[in-house]
Amino acid sequence: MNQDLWLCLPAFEAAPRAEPSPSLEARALGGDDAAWSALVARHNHRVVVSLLARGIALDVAKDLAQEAWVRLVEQARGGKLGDLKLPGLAVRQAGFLALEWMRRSTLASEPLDESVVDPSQDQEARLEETRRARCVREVLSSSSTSAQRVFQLLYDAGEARTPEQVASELGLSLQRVRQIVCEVRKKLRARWEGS
Amino acid sequence: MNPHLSMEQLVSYVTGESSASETRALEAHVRTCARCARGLEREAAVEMSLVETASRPQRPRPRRTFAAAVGVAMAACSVLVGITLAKGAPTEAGVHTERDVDAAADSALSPDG
Repeated sequence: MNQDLWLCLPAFEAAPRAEPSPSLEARALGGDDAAWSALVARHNHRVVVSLLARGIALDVAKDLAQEAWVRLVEQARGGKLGDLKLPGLAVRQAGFLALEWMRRSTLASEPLDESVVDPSQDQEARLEETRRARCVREVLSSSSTSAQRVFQLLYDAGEARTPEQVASELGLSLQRVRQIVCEVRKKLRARWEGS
Repeated sequence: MNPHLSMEQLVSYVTGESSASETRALEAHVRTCARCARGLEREAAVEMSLVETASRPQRPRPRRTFAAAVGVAMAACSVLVGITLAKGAPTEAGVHTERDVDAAADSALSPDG
């Protein structure tokens, strides 16, 4: 990893939500290091969680997330990024790195295992993603209107809100928002484990 | 005291709501506890499914209205009728010819013929 480049990125603390992401992304593409720092602080946790979801151990996930950001910054500096949509782009970059890492790890432990280059593994992962997405849609569509609205706002692809913001926007208590989140996630887990 | 992390703690972590000290404590725990590491992986997978589903809203299927369906059916019928007429429409001469053939056949088959 390019350590010099990484040093300019911030420690991951809770990021203030003052500036909207599209504005920060535009500034980052223009070479503004402070904008990159703010974007990394805002989105790095999501990137790490995306790697944990793939079964990557926590410390490896953190390293791969760092590497993903470094590559994105390098690509932007090299003029190779026409568009910057975060955290999606960072999650995808981290996903590629995770695949490489898993292949390298498997090759190191089982050099004769041909399954590591089996493209059907990626296909299975995509099928599993599709199945899970269907579960999510089914569980959400069977939930109450207010629960659907809570999730719509919490996971808004454009600008996701915090539970506090959702509670305020919908006129619910924060406790109620958290309760809804827990109930829906519980149903989801049950569906996944049952199917 | 439960030695494992609660579901609420795991959810709070993956949704980014844990405080810095809670995050440090949780991360230290999952480094040494395989069960909680699996729980974290599962909650992370739930979280990413929610994120991905939200970012890819299902496109509504194109709905063919009744009027459009009737229009298509009528157009198909028109084409079929047109083709049938163009191929099979007998000319006056054709009609006579066929009748003549039939008459000739009848007369040939008749015992008088």
